[in-house]
Amino acid sequence: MNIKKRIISNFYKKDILLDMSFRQMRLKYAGAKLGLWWAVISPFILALSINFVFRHAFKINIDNFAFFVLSGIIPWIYITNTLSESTSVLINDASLVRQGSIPIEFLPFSTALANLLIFLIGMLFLLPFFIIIKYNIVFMLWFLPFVILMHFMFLTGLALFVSFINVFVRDFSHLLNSIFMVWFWVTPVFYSLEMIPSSYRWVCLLNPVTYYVIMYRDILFYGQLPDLNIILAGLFIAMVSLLSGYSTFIKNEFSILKRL
Amino acid sequence: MNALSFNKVSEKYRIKFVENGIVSWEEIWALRDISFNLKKGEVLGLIGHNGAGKTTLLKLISGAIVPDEGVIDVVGRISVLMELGIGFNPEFTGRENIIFNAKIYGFNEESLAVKIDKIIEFADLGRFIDSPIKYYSQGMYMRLAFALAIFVDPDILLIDDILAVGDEDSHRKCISKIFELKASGKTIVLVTHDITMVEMLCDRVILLEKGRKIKEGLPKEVTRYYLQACQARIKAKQEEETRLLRQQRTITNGDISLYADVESKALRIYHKDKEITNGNGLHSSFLINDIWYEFQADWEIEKIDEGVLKVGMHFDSFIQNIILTLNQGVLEINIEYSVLENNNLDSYHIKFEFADSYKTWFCHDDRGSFDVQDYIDYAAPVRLKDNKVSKIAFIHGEKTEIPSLLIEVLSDLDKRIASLYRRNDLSCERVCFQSSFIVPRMKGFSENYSGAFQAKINFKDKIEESEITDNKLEFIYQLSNGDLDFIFDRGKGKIIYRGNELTSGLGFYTTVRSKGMWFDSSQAFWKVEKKSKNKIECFGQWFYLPILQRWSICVGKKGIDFDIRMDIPEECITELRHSALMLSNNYKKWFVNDNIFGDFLEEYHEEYDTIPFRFWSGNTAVLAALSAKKNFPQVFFKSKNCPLAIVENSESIYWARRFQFQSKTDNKVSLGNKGIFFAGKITIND
Repeated sequence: MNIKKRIISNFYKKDILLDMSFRQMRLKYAGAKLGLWWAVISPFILALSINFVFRHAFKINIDNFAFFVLSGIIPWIYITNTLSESTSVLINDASLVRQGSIPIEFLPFSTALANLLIFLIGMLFLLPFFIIIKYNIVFMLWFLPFVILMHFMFLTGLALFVSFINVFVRDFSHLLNSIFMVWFWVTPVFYSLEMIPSSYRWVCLLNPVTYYVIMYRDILFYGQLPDLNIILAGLFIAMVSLLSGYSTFIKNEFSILKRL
Repeated sequence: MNALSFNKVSEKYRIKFVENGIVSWEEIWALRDISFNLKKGEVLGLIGHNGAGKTTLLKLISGAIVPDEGVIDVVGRISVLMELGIGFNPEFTGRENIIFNAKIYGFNEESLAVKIDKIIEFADLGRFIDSPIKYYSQGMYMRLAFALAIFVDPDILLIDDILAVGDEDSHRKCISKIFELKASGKTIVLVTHDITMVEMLCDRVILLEKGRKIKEGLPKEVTRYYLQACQARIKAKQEEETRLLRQQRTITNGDISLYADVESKALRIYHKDKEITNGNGLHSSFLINDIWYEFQADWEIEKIDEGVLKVGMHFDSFIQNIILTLNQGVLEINIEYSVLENNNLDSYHIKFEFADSYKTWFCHDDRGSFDVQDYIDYAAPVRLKDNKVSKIAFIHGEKTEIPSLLIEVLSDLDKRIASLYRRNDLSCERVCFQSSFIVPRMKGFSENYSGAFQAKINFKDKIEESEITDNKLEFIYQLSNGDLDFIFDRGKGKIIYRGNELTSGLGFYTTVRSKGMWFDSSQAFWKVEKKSKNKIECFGQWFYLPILQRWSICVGKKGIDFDIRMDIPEECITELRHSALMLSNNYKKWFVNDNIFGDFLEEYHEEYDTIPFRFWSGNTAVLAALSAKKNFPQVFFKSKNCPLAIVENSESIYWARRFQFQSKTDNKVSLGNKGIFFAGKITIND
């Protein structure tokens, strides 16, 4: 009930949220000479280095292994950036909240949005290369926005949650780095789900990110529509994450404000 | 219409404490039970000490935090001007920050376009408006924040104490803008420490203290109350500090306490909180290289325990370490002093100044009162018969509980002169005891100047005269031959015949006048070189004058021979030299020869050297005194070298007859004058 009211009032302030997101995005590259171009350059360099390592050094014989990895690692980087930035956003931008006129959840929202924009820019520049490798993925691209939306919902919920935790447990931002390490290896970025013995596969399936990575890879690398079960799981996880994250955040809003 | 209302609002914080590595959390009420209403267009001032909860109250109004208890109603748009650079990001330019923040306040592009020029104009940043804020000075920051806060057209403007930043011009500009806003009917809540601004600007003031509303009302009333409370607080704090500091500098034993008063460089003694010292208390003064030092020292105070205080005093050329011990009604004073190299100590006095409620004094052979009037430079001397006395009692005049004092000098009794006087400078009357160190003028005779002074003060309800026996036995030499005794005591001598003292006062002594001042042998420092049953050889060094005297005294069956020689090694003017004999006032007649004789008068006067107290002076080699009493045989005072003799009564304190042999030196400089000062004899004739 409360959340509903809140969402409606926030909807009228969507301009501010957009402003904040653009501001965050610009802030990320503020002072850098190449500015926003880094959103393009860094995935590009990543792609080149992965290509080099797996083609010439490891000689792995999955066709176009670099693009296989890339299709998983770009969404992954989007996740890590969003989460690590949103842990500290409440503390860093506390002054905006103290003004009292913007809702506090706009801070993690704007972080997620800003990173989404960066992710989209990077994706936009890398997409032609995926198409060059396998031109028939073009037919599946219509589904990509849905994947991104689900991914974004999942991430926003998580961002709300981690930003809230970090206000109370400041150690959290340090813990997060360790979490990422483990998390990365239980996410099928460098491997496909099929490569793991089926007795261990459940570990990967417990990891919600797995479903999004599989969906991105199906579309961008294999050029096929993801399995319906996978889509439904992804959608379910996104809804749960967003709703639980948001309600936890709203419920603890006052204590967050007090602690800032 | 209320723009703002608080109803029993309370707010608490959890505060983390890290004390000695132990982390604890405490809940602290930042605000407690605050209620007030603010009408539209009213200006409210919030005052109070740091941490009183003012900023928390603003945050509550702004909605940045939510109250733990109570209800807050706010009507209208709020603009907050608190904590410099709120919502500003240092990486963005001033213009970008304004646009962004204005959007946060809910302005759309069109209305912003109109406002932005005004904001920029007011902020008066010039080209800096398009420079990232991180390059701004604090004043520029403040102006931008202020410009933004007022031009977003708030209904309620909250201002936290930030106007103090910035130069005079911009400060004034901001204040006049606030007045403008007030005139245009805005509601303003202002937190400031600037009382004048509160009085000028506010319609109403709330005083907060420790999270509670202490007072609410018209500005003048509340600020006056606040300032008074501040003063009282500061005063109380100062008093507490003074008390603590005082405690560190005070030792106590029973009713008596001693306080090292650094401000006036004096040691003060108290009996139950009432000071019994006065003026400069216990202190010292000394003359080094012709400069008097008294209060110029740096003090270092160390309280060793409840009854022991150590005071180090460091002068340019002199160090004095005092240890004061209070125990069972006795104050012991131990002073160690040393003169730093290449400095000449010429005089050194220890002074005890007491309240003038001490009216009388006595020592072993003398008593008197402090009721004296002849002030010379604010000090009126009290004459002592024996200036080397070591124990003196000060008796309190009124029948009060204040104890009497027994002052006792314990060290160097041959080198110390005691004096009593009354002082009345520094607008207070006090009675003083002074113990002066005899610093011989002759440098060649002095070792290095370091030494010790010991004394004690006994605080007693009652002191009996019989308690006082002077500690001088070791300096008294008795020469005997048959019935005749001569008792030599540090530059003066008594004649005793068959157990009866014929002399009075100083007895036999010598004196030298230099530049109008008399210097008696009894003021000199004496060393005995040889002593047998009836003979003594000793020499004395004068203080202040470069004079040495060597006395050879030999007691025969019926007479005492004197051979006194004087050496003046340095340039020194001496005008008159006497050798004198004070006889008991039992002698009634004096006799020079068959033609010249007379009776002593029974009057004594300070101006003893005037007629009629000077009975006769003229040339003779012998003077005689006669008494009718059996115990007082005839005494003849004979001189071989001084022809001029004087017969007079002594000054009133001694009540004695005085015979003198005098030689004049006609104001000439005497240099290297080795020779006979006095050669003569005192004979007794039954």
